[in-house]
Amino acid sequence: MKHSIRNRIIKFFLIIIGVSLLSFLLIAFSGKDPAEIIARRGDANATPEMIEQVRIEMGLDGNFFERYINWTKGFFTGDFGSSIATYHPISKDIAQFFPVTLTMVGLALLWTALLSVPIALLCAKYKNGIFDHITRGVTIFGICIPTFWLGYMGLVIFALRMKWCTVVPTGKFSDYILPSAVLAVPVICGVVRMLRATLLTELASDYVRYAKARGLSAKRILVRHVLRNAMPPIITVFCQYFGSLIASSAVMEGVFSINGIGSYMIQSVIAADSVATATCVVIVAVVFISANTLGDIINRLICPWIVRESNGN
Amino acid sequence: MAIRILKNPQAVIGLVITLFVLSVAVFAPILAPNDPEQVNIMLKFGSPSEQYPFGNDALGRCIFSRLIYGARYSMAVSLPILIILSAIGLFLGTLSVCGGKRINAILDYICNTFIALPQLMVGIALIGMLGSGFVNIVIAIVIGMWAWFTKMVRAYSQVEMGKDYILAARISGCGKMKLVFKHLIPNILPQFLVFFSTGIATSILMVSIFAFLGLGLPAGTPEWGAMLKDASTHIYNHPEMLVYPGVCILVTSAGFVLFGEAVRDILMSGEDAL
Amino acid sequence: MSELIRVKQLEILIKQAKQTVVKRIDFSVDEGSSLVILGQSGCGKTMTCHCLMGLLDPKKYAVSGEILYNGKNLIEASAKEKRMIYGKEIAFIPQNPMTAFDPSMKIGKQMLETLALHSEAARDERKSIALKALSEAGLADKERVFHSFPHELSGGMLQRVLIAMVLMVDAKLVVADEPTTALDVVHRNATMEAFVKMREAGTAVLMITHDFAAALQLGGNMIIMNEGSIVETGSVRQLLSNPRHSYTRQLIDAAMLTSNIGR
Repeated sequence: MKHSIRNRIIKFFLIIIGVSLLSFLLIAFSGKDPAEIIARRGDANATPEMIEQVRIEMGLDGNFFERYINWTKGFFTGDFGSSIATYHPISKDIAQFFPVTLTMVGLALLWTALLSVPIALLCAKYKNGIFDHITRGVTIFGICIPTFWLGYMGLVIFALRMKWCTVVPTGKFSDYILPSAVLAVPVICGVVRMLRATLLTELASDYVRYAKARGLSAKRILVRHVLRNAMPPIITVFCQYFGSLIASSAVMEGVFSINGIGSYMIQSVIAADSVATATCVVIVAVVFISANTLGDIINRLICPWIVRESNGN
Repeated sequence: MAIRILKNPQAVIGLVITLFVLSVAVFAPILAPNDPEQVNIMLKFGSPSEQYPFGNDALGRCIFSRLIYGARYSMAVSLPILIILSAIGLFLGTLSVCGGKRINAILDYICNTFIALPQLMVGIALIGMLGSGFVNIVIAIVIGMWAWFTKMVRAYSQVEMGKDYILAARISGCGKMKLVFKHLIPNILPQFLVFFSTGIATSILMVSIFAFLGLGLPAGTPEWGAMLKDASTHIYNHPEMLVYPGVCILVTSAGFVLFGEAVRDILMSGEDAL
Repeated sequence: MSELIRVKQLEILIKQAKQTVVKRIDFSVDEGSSLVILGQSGCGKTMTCHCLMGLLDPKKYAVSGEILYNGKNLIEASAKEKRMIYGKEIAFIPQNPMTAFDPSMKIGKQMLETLALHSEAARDERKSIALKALSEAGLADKERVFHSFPHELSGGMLQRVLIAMVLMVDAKLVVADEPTTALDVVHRNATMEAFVKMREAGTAVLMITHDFAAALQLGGNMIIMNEGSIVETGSVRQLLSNPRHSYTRQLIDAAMLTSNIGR
């Protein structure tokens, strides 16, 4: 047990290092020169000398490794320099934008939790009934829906037609409701499908039959026994979605004009700001991997019986 | 297997949709009533007519013809992506299962690293580095998706390698290469059909997201994601233009997913019968 | 002795395949007696057993005929009536003890859950009832078993827990679905002894099996099933020593052959 936790932590850091190197590498060799971009902002006809001047001022002059090492120091001092895209200190930008994305994703998962469990329970209870058939049809389209398109449809219906909200955010908490709901649609559909399949597998198992033979009611078996046993995969999937939604939030943020970490990362990539990009990527990757690891840990803590299955492999 | 697919209504619906989209893609020049890139400022935001069934966009181009050609772009990008992904996935997936502990650990590490990278950022950076064009889109999406594919193949190969028939083949002195090509790959092929089909749906979505962000395709290309991007600037005046491309993306990817999931159900029920 | 359960003209049809798996069978079990249903795999004996316990999904199976328990037809009983009978008066022993329990719930909790439904005992007395049943079933370390998850116990121990669950509710009839198949020889003997003891204490036993040795150990009446029909009925000893039907003879010969090879 201790051994496996240590291995996990080592693996975690190895992946973070790999991710940071890869992202730094990608931006550094993306063929754009950040010094040139900045110099041309001030003067469209910047001379090579002026560009060189900017390069030294911004600390962009070292070779690749010097810059990489320089950047990693930022994780201990909290100082990553200033962003090429926004001119603000990068750490300040991230502190401002990350909570925005976190709120949107968190709300999306809240909708998912509230809706998917009852829907899947109903489907499993009345398997092959009308509700089950409709849900299966709707969810299969739901997982294919392009969320950025659904976002526009939401804007057209709720902002332009119904006037319930505005196309451009107003700065209130209610701004998050529509984007998070749209973001949740494919997630809800995916979770419902998975949960339904898990519940049906569980319902066909021996312990359910024995519970029926003991006179337990169908409802009690479903809620107290089957749902409990279906928990581990739901927890895993939830944590995975949390990580991947944060990583892919950029498009939704663009549609709803929300300033989150996703759109900031894209701005930084376009500005060839390798430091800002790599910092964002590392943070997103840390959240992604931590969420997955957290899922495993929660499963082990609240579902001690699955230890047997994972040891079996 | 083929008969069971044809008996499954969900698989048939999926198959019909995919075949329909594929034939639209192939016969686009015959089916499209107008040249999709023909600009005609006189017809700006024209209403639907016999000549232009869905009307005209901001540059007076025929929306209907652009949608039809969109199928062509979606398929032309997604099919090569999936073929490359399949080759990489099958090669690396089986290699990591058969190649010993060290190779397995290294590949696992590389896959996890790539999975942790945000795909969009990789795509933007790569296209920034390589420039626009079809080949570069394919490369960008393959780099974003290969790790998932390899992991899936690896997971199924591991299950398959634990089965008795592989043991029997090993005992009877079957070589590693022969084991992989004659036993392992044919046996994971049905599962692979499922990934392939759902993978196309994912790839269609990815391509449209890229195009939507203005990455990779020359301006004016009649691609569904790019059309959505163009239409999004006219959301106040002509929101209906946003509807069509989205529906196309949705229906096409749903067709592949319907088919893939139905095949998965068929495979699962087959295992139950044993 | 009065009749406890009578099965009349029971027929089970798989709806989708339109295949009749159990064909108009009749049998009965008296109070405190035992009945063995013996046959090969696929003869319909497990289906009969599940039907008896009300476990068949009505969407998949069409059941006709009557199952009269103390004069009440269980096939037509309401879900609520059934819940009062199953688990309390008719107890079930499933085939595989390893998969019979909810893996996510401690054994004790699953026992208490059953007691809460079927026992008049007060809440605080239930635990002592469960512990007493566990020790009667031969589990010395009853407290540990009570606080264990199913995966922490061996197959033999879980089989004893299944028996304890029957003892706990004072069932009138216990229906056992191939109780010896998943066990090794030692646990098999212990299980059969437990059944004999239960019968001596007044609980009727209905055992489904393909195991002649187990049938002999239990004794009482026996019916031989083949392809969904009853081919022969009589006492276990009489059928095994003097089989009349050719199918019974075949079964016995095959069993003798394998046990001789075993020696």
